[in-house]
Amino acid sequence: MRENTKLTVSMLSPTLIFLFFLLVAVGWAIYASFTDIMLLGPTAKSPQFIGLRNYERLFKDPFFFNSLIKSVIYTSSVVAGQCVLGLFLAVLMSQKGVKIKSAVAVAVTLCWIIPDIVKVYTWGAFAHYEGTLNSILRLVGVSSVRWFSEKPLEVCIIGNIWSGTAFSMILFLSALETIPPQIYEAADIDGSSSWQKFRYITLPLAAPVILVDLLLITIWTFGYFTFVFGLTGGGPGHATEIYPVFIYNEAFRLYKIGYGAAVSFIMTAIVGMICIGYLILLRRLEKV
Amino acid sequence: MMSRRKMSKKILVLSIAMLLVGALAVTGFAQQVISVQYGEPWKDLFESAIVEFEKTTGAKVDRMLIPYGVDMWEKIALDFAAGVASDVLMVDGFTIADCVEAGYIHKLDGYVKEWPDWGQYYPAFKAMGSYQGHVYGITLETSANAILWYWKPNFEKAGIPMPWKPKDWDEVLETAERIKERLPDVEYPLYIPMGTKWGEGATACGIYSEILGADTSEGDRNRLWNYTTGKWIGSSPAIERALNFYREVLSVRKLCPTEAMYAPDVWGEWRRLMREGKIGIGQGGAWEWAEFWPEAIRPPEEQRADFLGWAPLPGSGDPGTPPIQTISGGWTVAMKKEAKNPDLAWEFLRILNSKERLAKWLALAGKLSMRKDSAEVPEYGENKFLMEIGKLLPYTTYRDAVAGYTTVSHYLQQAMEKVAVDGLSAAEATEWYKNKLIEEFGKDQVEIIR
Repeated sequence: MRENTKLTVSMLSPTLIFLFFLLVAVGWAIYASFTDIMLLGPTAKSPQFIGLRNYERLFKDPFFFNSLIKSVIYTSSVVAGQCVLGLFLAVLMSQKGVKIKSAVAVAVTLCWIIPDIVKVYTWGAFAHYEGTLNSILRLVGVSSVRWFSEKPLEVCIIGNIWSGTAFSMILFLSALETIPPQIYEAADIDGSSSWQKFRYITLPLAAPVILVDLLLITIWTFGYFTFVFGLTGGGPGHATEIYPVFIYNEAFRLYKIGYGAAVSFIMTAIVGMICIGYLILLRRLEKV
Repeated sequence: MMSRRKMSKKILVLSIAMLLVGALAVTGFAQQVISVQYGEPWKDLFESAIVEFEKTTGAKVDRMLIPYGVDMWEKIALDFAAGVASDVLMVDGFTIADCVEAGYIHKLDGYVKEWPDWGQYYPAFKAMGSYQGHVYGITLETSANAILWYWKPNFEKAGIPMPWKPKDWDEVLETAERIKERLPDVEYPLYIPMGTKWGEGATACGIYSEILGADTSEGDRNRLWNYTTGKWIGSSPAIERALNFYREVLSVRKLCPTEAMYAPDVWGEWRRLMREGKIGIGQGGAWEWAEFWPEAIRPPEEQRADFLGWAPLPGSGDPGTPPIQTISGGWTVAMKKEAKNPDLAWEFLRILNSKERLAKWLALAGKLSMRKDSAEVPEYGENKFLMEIGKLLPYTTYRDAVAGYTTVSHYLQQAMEKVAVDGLSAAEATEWYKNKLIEEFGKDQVEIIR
């Protein structure tokens, strides 16, 4: 019994240490969100408690709403794109006799595993006015486009889909492998078309995994800062100022740590609500 | 034979003794260690000073290099806030006031008073590291902004006579129009830094240069801060005219596509465009004379002059405006307020800022000196470009060394985006800027100049 207690404590201790540091940081951020603390200037030294003023200000700030709208467009497009493309690629990978599948798998996975900042520069060079994308367009008779000033949010969305699809592909591939081949064989005997097999076998059986994938990509994309910040810095103007970039600009460009903390808590609440929504859906799906 | 128990006791006693000796040694040593933080572009300067410092004082330097690609100021500010900043560190001149207000940096009055070299610094650069009459940072390097670089082969092809010395903004715009008309391959006939991705660069190397020459230079009409009234200038003819110049270039005449302002690396992109001849005229700082080319492909100085010409940015040309103006910035080197051994840290600052070392490094880096006696060092004094561009220093001023400047600068960058990207008129963008300042500092802290 004593041995068991010792083991339990020793196994729990890393979690407790982690929780301690997490709670200290979260506690400090909660405190900061109720103060006028800044990174520089007089209030860095002696911040004042200002109650809910940061939160009140937030709901009057047009840039906050702009960033929220931009984030919803960005996240939903990226999530839909990665999920659909990932599913398509996973189905392709699971087919027998497709010769290029190894090459596709390597290419897609490489885009995913390279460091974020390399992704930014690679995609930036690809979509540059003098880059590969415009060279391809010119070959087919389309004139060059200044993507970063004319279609900045679209460039960020497509770039993120390109760089992140591998995760969905791998997840779906593992889900597809759990579907017994006998079901497909029975469907073949019944004369089902490929589409019917996908619609009535693959999709329902992979649905819980799809939902988990959606949940994870939504959380990651909503809070994913590096790609958009590195690519456009939130510009031109505020055209790509998604929520995490807005937080960064407030906290580190304008040095308003207190306000930045308040904005972060609202983001946590939003992501939390999205997660709850997904989890409810997942429960319902499991009951069906 | 010694028993196992006795042996264990001896090992234990010996270990404790060794630990005590070690601890004592470390404690004694700690008094002779200072930590120094510097960015990679200044590596040669700092490392030679560290060698001399360690040799002459016997103390050790715990060095922390901030590599290229890291937002240096952001890292330093976060280190300050987290209480882990080094004893000696670099502070960008425009943030001195904010750092002092935050209680981050040490006053150097007593040290500079005893330092004979301090008399060799031009007053503008003494002021750059000062706040409310006290010295907090020693300016390490400077430059002259408001430089119009031009690519000579493009000027030659467009038939524009050289040396080019524009008299006013109209002449700058007309020349850029001529390049646009005659050389359609030159993507950026007139490149001016703009927007939040350029950050402080858009203010310091960009619009503040225009503001300084936009209106009559009576009092502080051409500034962001009024030193007489002690208020931020929310709206003025100078700010509106400068924003209108940006609107003309970026939005109306389309002389500078905004795409390059949002490239992953805006500084790198601007330099690449210039050295590849894709810019006709580009507004920047004098230090870029060396930095347009990465070190590996940098042509020798005499060859650079075959491609690159420069002219000071003229005033707007409206009656009473200054013929030329320039603004200087630069990094200072300062001491953390809680430095454990301030005297030792000062000794390092003194060695770092010695006449010979600084002048040689500045000449190599193509940066201007803040010291009158640098010209006596042959490497600096014989550098034709530096001696020529140094003639602008009497016209120079510096950014407003007032707490809150960084916030004001950020809103100004956004106002630039309002005219360049969002299609607002200069008057509307000025109004927006004024309202942001009022929201930030309160109505009684912001004034309007008509």
